[in-house]
This record gives sequence, C-alpha cells and structure tokens, in this order.
Amino acid sequence: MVERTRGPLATRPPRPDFLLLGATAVLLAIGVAVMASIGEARDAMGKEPHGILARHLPRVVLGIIACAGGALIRVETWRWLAKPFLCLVLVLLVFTILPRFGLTIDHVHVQRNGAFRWFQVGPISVMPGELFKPVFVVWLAHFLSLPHAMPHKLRGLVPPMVVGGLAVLLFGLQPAISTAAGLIVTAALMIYVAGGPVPGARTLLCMLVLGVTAAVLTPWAPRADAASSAAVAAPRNDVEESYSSAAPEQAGGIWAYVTGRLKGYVPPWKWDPRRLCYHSHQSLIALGFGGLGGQGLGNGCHSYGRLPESHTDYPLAAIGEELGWIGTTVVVAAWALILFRGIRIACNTVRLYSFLLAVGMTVNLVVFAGVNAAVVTALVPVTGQTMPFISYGGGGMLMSLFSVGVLDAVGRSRT
Amino acid sequence: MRMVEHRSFRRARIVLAAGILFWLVVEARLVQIQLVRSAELSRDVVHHRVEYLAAQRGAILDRHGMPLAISIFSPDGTQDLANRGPYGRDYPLGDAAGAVTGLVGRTSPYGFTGKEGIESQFESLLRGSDGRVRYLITGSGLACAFEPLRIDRLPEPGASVSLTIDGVYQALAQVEAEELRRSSDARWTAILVMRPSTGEILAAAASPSVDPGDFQPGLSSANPLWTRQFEPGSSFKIVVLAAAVERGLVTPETLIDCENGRWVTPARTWHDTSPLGVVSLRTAVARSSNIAAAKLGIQVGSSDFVRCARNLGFGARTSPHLSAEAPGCLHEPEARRRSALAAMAMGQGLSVTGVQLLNAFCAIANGGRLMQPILAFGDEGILPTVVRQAISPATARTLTDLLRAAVEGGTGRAARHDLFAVAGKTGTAQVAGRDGVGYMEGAYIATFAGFFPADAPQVAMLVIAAEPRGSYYGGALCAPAFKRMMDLIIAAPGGCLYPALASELSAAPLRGWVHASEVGRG
Repeated sequence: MVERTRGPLATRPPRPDFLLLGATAVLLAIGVAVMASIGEARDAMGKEPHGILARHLPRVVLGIIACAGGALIRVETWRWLAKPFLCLVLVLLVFTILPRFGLTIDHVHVQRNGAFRWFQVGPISVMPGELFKPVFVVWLAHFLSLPHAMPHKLRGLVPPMVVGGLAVLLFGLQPAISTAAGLIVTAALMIYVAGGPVPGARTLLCMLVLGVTAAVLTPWAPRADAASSAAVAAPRNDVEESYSSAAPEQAGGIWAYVTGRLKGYVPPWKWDPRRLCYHSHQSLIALGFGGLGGQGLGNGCHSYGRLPESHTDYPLAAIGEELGWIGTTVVVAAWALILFRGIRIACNTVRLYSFLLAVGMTVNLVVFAGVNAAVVTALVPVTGQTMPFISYGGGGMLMSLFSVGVLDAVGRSRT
Repeated sequence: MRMVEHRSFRRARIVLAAGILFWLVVEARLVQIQLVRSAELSRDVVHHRVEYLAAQRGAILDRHGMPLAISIFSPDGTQDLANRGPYGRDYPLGDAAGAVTGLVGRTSPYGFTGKEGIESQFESLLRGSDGRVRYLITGSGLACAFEPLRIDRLPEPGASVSLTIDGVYQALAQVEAEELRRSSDARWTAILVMRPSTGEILAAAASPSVDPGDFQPGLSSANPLWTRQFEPGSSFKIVVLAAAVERGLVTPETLIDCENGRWVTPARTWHDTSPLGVVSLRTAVARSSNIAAAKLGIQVGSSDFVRCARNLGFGARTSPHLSAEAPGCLHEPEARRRSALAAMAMGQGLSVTGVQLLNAFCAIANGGRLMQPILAFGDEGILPTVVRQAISPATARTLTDLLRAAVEGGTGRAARHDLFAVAGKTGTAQVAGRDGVGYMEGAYIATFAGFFPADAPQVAMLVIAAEPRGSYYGGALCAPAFKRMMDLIIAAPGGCLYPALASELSAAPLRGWVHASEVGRG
C-alpha cells in the first residue's frame, strides 16, 4: 500500500498554518515592544505605577494558552456552546450598561473616558464587548449552517437581526459605536458569504435602524459634571480631560456625540492636518515624525502625554513614530496575510459551519484592526477601537488569540 | 449537514479582495503621512527632551581636610550642559598625589567615572546621583514656553572620602622622590611613609607619576609601592633575624663566622661586599653580611623561616583597601635545597611589594604587632586593625636594637640623625629578568626601610630607587634620601606627626644621644 503524503487522502496529520501563526506572532512581538516603550513613558509620568509591560506580558501568555485551547478543541464543540454563551454575554452586556439607567453598583461599574464598557470583579476588569465578538461569530456560523437556515430570505434572518440589533443597541448605550459598526460589518459579510443578499442591502439596514433608533430613543441619565466642548481642538495642557469630555451625556445624547466626533474630521482627500481633532492630529504628527525608519524603539515622545491612551487606541501611531514606515508596513502586511490565510482556510473547508466560522473569525479580527488603522491614519473619525494582538487589554488579547486558534483548528480539520 | 456552495467560495474571495484593497488604501495613506508629508508633520512635533544635571563629585581629602581631588564648577562647561557637565575635576597637588587618588575618566557623557585608585574604589560614594529635568521642545528645536521645565530630581552631590594621607608629607615625599630619581637616574623611585602604631599610610609618593588633572588616555596612576613586586635584598634579612631571635637561636652578641667574605658550599659560593671574620651578630647585621644571613637561614630551617615571613605579612596582600595590590611571591623551598633557603634568607628568590616590606618594619616598631595598612578613613573614623602578633615584643626589641646598629655603625650610616636614634636596614638586590629567568645585567634595586625615633617609633619610612645608574647601594642612595625626608618631616609644621615628634624631641633631647653612643660601643 502506498502511503500518500499529499492530496485529499493524505495520512500525515495536518500541519498548523505557520504563515497565519507567524503573522500573529510578529504582531504580538511588535505589540510587546511598543508596550515596553509606552509603559516606560507612562511610568515616567507616574500614570501606571506598576508598568504596562508587566501586565501586558502575562496577558500575552494567557492569550497563547487560549490560542492553544482554540486550536486543540474540536470546532464542533463550540457549535453546541454557542447559544448559552451568547445568552450569558448578552446578560453581561446588559449588566455593564446598568449605570445608564441609574443603577450603579459601587466598585463594580467603572466609568472610563465617559463610557461604561467595563465592570470590575475584584482585581479583574471585564469587558463583555470583547467576549461578545467571537461568541456572536460562532453563534452566527452555527445558525446560518443549520439545515433549515435561509440566509437569502429576510424571514430567515430575523434571529440574527434581533440578536445583532440588541447588541448594537447595547454597544450604542455604552457607548461603543465602532464596536457596534464592526459587528454589523462582520455579520453582514458572514450573511453575504453564506449566500444571503448583497451586503449593505437589507441586513445592514435592518440592524442599523434597529440599533440606532433604539439608542436615540433611550433617554440619557443626566450628569452633573457636564463640560462644554467635545473632543475638538482641545487645549494642549488638559489633554486627558478633553478625551473624556467626549462622553455623550455631557452634550446631550448620541447625536451630539457623533456630530462632535465628525466636527474634528477632515476627509483624507483634503490634506489639512491642523483642522483635524486633537487626537487625529497628534496621531498624524507621531506617524510623520517617525518617517521612514522611525526614531528608534523607546525614543517616541508622543507616549509622553501627547497621545492619550496610546497603549490601547494608538499603538500603531507609537509604532509609526518609533519604528517608522517600515514598522507600520510590517503591521499592515501582517494583517493582509492574516486575512489571506484566514480566507484560504475557509476556502479549503467542506462544511458550511467550518467555512462560516473561518470567514467570521477572520473578518472579525481584520475588521476591528482595520477600524483601528483607519482611525490612526485619520481615514475615519476618531473612535476608541483597539488593534487586536497589539493593543493593551486582557479580554481583547485573550479572545483574539482564541480566534486564531479556532481558525487554525478549522484549517487542520479540513472539513 | 450543509456543505459549502460554490457561490460562497466566490463571495469569500470577493471579501478577501475587498479586504486587501482596504489595507492597500491604509498603506497608501501611511506612505502619504510617513514618507511624503513627514517633514511637514515633524514641524508640529512637541516632545520632551530629557537632560541630566551632573552631580558634584565628592572630594578626596587628606587627613587634615585638605583636598587632594575636588570637583569645582567650571563655567565653560555650562555651554553644553548635556554633554560635558558643569564640573571639572581638579587635583590641587597635581602629580604629587596622583599615585594615591587615582584617575577619573569621562566615560559617561555628563560626568566622570573613577578609573583607578581611590577614585575608582570609592566610586559609588564619590559619584552622587545626577539630576534630571525634562522640558518640551517643538520639532523645530525651540523650547515650549507654555509648559514649564519639569525637574524629576535634583542632583545630589557625592560624599567626600578622607584619606590617611598627610598632604604635607605627600608633597614632600614627592619632591624627594623626584629629586632621588633625577640624581640617581633611576628608572623609578618611591617613598612610603607610615605610622607604625596604626598602619596609616601618611604618604605614598612615586616618580615618575601622572597628573590626574591632565588626563591622557593610556596613562596609569598605579602606585608602584603596592602594585610592583621586586626582590628586596638585604632589607628582607629582618625576617631571618626575627625567626632566629624568636626561637632563641641567637642574641645580638652571638658570634658568627663570616668566612672572610667567601663561603664555599657544594651548591654555591657566597660573597660579602665587606669581608668579615668571626663577629657578633650585631656587627654582621650592621655590615649586612650575606654569609651570616645564609647561615642563620639554614639554622632556622625553611618551614620556620617561611612561617615567620608570612607572619610578618609577606606573600599575601596586606590590605583590601589598596587598589590593584600585588601579593608578592613567597614559596617554601624544598627542605634539602639549603642554598635556596640561604638565598631567601638574604632576600633573593622571592618578591615583595613596598608596602609589605615597610609594614613588616612597622610590626617591629610596633612591639611585634602587625597592623593592616590603612589608606582611607572608614565611616566611624580611623579603625586600626591588628592583623596578628607577628613576633614577640622581646624579639621586636632585639630587632630594633640590631636595626639601630645598622644605622649607627653599619651600611645605613647615612641615615643617622643628630637628635634621635634611627633603626633601619639597607637593601640592594638585582632586578629579576623580564622573562623570569636569571637577573638583568647591571640592574639593581636599592632600598632603605626604617623607623624613628628608634625607642618610641612615630614614623616608618621606605625609600626605593629602582635601576639607578652609577652607585646602586641602598646605603649610598636611599639612606641619604631617608635622612633628608626625616629632616623635612621633623621640620614640617603642618604635618600630622609634628606635635608627637616635637614633644618627643623636647622631652628627652639627650636620650637619643645616649642611646646612640651605647649602640656605637656595642
């Protein structure tokens, strides 16, 4: 009997997708390097007494363990866990925004930068939004691959639209507009590849209308510490305050929040960085100051208070400043490679569930990375979105690496 | 179970294409920002600049608080605060104290780092800690006016280090060492002054020396008094004398046959510079008879001899505080090689450092107690450390008596002093070959080690002249220098021993005479 080493009947155990894992590892390494640099700067300013790197590294390690878990557990398992997990995370999301309705639990609900996205359990702060993303993808893949699923008919899309609309509503209340938008895009693309209507048509519209109208109609809890200005052209010496002043309740609801963000936005085809809002302007300055080769790791000066929240929302700007165009291009290339390998894995599957899972996980990662990159390069208005694998943050790191593990598991299962 | 339809694969590829297109747009934007518009954006950069404020380096002081090394504000340095630091390092004694203080180098961009000697040994104390300020500058290099300068920390000056060195004696010893080297045309000379009762090093001058204030790369300020090791010659005979007297083998009056200056043994023939017949030990020591030393050494035996040498501090580093101190070389000869033992008894076939040699003399002056040499004061002031009772007080007295004879009527006559008795021993040895085999032709090292006043020693002193041209005897070269140093020390009003010596001289001005005449008769 001749043992075949290639082709569909290969007996050799399938190998992991080294290109996918390699691109992930490159992003992780760049993230660790830039966290070391930013952490040092924040340390020097007395902001994080314990250092960012010291907390980033264990999260990377935990994330790698989650990645291994995702890679080693059969993808079918997630299918049966999808629904209970989804319910649980939705409950957590509702719990997170309870303060919007005046139900604040001390030491559990934390407001950061004017938004309720976290809650605190002892020393751990949980961000249910990060948990929701992959759970939603798994559930959607499961739902769309059910025998009776009808992605091409509006009737068959009611459950995703309800769940998605509810999620968009909850994210809108936090507020986390960009997370909601990314979720809509992910869901729309998954429905599209599952055979649904052309993206942007009915699905998108339904989810948007459902979510946004609900968000607009919800009354905001009045706040005493209302400041006047939004995140536009903030004076330089109270940068931190200006960032938090982006909170919507201060200027009267979600529209003011959105229009405030839009006011400081210049479309990319008009080159006028000084008219950009403070964050975008500083981000562009950091990138431009980096030039081709960067100022050298640890030599960036925008981490010193010039770019607030550079460890979560603007690590790409820090990379651009310290490692230059070469560094940012490596990041962009890595993301393109992750997208390419993810879709390739999807195209090698046989079963619809695996296919949708691979596409969903890939798109989910790349869309949020893309939103972050677009914000950093001022292609879109400012919105607080982290870049997976690079940004500081435990939940995101854990779930992103878990997603890569699941992708790899799909790739190796070949079904 | 539903399978993937072909349409889904096609749509997935469309998604892929759209995604790649998106990242290309991002990349194009990055090219625009980082490459095309980089210079324009960099003009708007506002960033912190960190600068360091150099801390004033601690001073090195002599025992009276006179600075041997001090950091002073140099206004020309303020122009480039970040790179040079506003302080210069000044050495008021110039090259006179270079062999003690050591050197600093500008190893860090804004300050000094000790490279050698005390400067390096006490680096952590002397350095202090630099201050740090931060301020904002724009991309065009201008400081931002609207954010104040932030001082992270102020510079903390370093602590001072006090040495046991007496600046007056150090300067005098340096002048004398220079003069000795000039007059004898020696390769190097050195003068070491110690206080026998405590082991304090009062002066350690060497010539040639470097001026640490005039730093030249490649120079070394290593002090030859503890970094160089040499064959001591006759001044090492104190060891065999101590061993023999300690064991009760001889007294100063014991008669020794000095074989009329030529003693033939199976292994070797021994010579004396001045031939002697059967004389007392006192005379044999006074005339520095090699044959007498050789015979004594054989009589004592190698193990007792080497033990006595080690007890007196030879063959090991004397102090942990002397930087780059050499240990000397002292091996026990094989029992049957009596010629080797005899050679060692007269100071050949072993090597010592200057500080070892003088410290052994200090032990004799100090009633047999060997002290640890001290160069720097500790935190609680001076801490004299007794290493061990090297020889019994009676032996120390006998040896003092013998050494006094060597000055009064022997080879060290030139070191005699009118006012008090001096105890000392000359030494002349050949310089070992550079390759470690044999001796260098015509290269000698002359020494004179001694202490005064002999009956109540206040100062011990060692004079070394290495590889002189012309006269090369310790008695002819170093004993006169010893005498001149004695005169200078007695006369130096600023010196630390002046009160003690003055009271010594005024209390019993005649006692020295009496003793001297007695010794002369003996």
